[in-house]
Amino acid sequence: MIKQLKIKNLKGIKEGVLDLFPLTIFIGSNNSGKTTILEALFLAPNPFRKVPYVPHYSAVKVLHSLHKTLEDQGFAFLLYRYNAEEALIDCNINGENYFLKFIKKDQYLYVSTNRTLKIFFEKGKQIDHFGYLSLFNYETKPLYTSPIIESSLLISSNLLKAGFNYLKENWVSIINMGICRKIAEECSFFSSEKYKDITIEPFLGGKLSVYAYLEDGTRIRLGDLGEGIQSYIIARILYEVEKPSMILWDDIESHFNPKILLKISDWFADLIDEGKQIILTTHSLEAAKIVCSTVDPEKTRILLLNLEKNVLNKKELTLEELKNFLKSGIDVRVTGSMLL
Amino acid sequence: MRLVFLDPTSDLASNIRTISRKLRINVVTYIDTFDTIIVVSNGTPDDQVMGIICHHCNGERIAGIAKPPGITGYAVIDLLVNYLKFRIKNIVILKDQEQETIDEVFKNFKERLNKNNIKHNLIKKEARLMIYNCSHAGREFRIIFILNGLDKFEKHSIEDHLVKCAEEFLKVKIDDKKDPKKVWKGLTREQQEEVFKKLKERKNKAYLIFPQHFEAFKFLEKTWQRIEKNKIK
Repeated sequence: MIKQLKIKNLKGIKEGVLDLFPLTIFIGSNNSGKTTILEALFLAPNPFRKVPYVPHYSAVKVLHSLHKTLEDQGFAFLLYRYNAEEALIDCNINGENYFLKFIKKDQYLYVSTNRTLKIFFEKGKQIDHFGYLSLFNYETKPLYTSPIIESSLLISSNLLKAGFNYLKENWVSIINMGICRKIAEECSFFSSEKYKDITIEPFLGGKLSVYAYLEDGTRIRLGDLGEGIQSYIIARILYEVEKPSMILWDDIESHFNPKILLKISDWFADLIDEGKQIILTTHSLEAAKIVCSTVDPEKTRILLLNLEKNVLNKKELTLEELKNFLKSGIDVRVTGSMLL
Repeated sequence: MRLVFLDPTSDLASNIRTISRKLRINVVTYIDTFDTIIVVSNGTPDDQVMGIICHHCNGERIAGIAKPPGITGYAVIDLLVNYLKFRIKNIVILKDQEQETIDEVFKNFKERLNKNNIKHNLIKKEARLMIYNCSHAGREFRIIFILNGLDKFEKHSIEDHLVKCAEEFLKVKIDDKKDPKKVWKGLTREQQEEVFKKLKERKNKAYLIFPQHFEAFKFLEKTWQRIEKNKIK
């Protein structure tokens, strides 16, 4: 489990240190660094590792897709103010230190770590990095693609389509995992329709499509279901495919009715019991309360974040403290900077 | 004075924003730096009145404002420790006097402070205004306790003041001196809005009808000025 995370010069965060818990929920104003922290934890196991999103394939390319702008095609977005010399993601994993560095040199960002990987050679020379990224274009050169530490999975409504593409491309292996029926039945708890299974079958014109298979034998394309149910199904399947040690979920409240959040909260509680780590961001106190409610308070923290001159400030809150603030007519999401 | 809502989704925020727009008073701000929190213990129309009174005070000043949902009267004192988690120096509490005497309120208020381990030292007492220097768990702060009520009524609330406004501004004849809440509710919506409008327009009258409220903010203003002078020195 990652117990502490230090970030330096990564995206909008110049500097920051955070203690992490089995369940950590980040709240805070817009632009307070919440998503950057999730992204750091998503990159941490290895930016070049394969992730279940198509067509991005690697963790760093997934992030690139989320930060793509019309004119900026490269990976400079990873550096603070686009021009820091070096970005650092430093994790304390059960007492052991592990870090990743992105070092700017010429037109590339070289990625190195303190973990001993096999020694690499390039053009006959020994090198101290395990891959590099172009600052100016989409080019990446991975030299090592396995996870260096236990893997993490980033879930975001912005990645729904990429996750769906992955399901389609890998359907044979997914269907043979025997999880689709269980997930379909779970969806029946929070929908008026009763789902029996998830299948892949031809649609009009013969093109294959993923379907939710209903009790009465009819089928509805996954893309035609509500976005909450789509998100739930895709997240659940991707989790089963990846079995990551850490789930990183950006804006957990997106598209979800409290009924789905209750189900997700039960799922998270089970994962935490299995020793997994869940890190979430949300703008919804209602969502934070629901997710916290089933997890041991000792294992849960709500971290209120704020960036002051791009340095990350945080205030740890328990669910009880959050409730006391609400009882006093205080919404910590808007008054957070005064608390810190 | 401009107000920052500690909970922008609250009824209090909605009421103040509405009256602020209707009366075109610039009393709402989103700057989240303040050293004073106003705690409204009795809801509406207290929040609307606060909006207008703050409009008449120094517009450079900023205070947070909150109404603990579902909690009224002395019970708000039990929540003060939560406000102390902010970097603040002053807590203004606005409460109805109801049917208690001022001495009873004074006694009950002190007892409640004691119950919450808040050390207090009275530094100013006027008819319906008490100001204390306080400390709790090493934090020093000031409580400015404003009691809503006027002598001419029996059951005291913010409506005492509003009904008096209606008498003065709209020439409404008030027969029932016992329950101003009932009288206020008996006015039409247009009459109530007219009272608020006049209150905004006639600052001097507002000072006379809400003496304890303006006195409290005058005290705060002096405190802020003193702090600023010391900073310059």
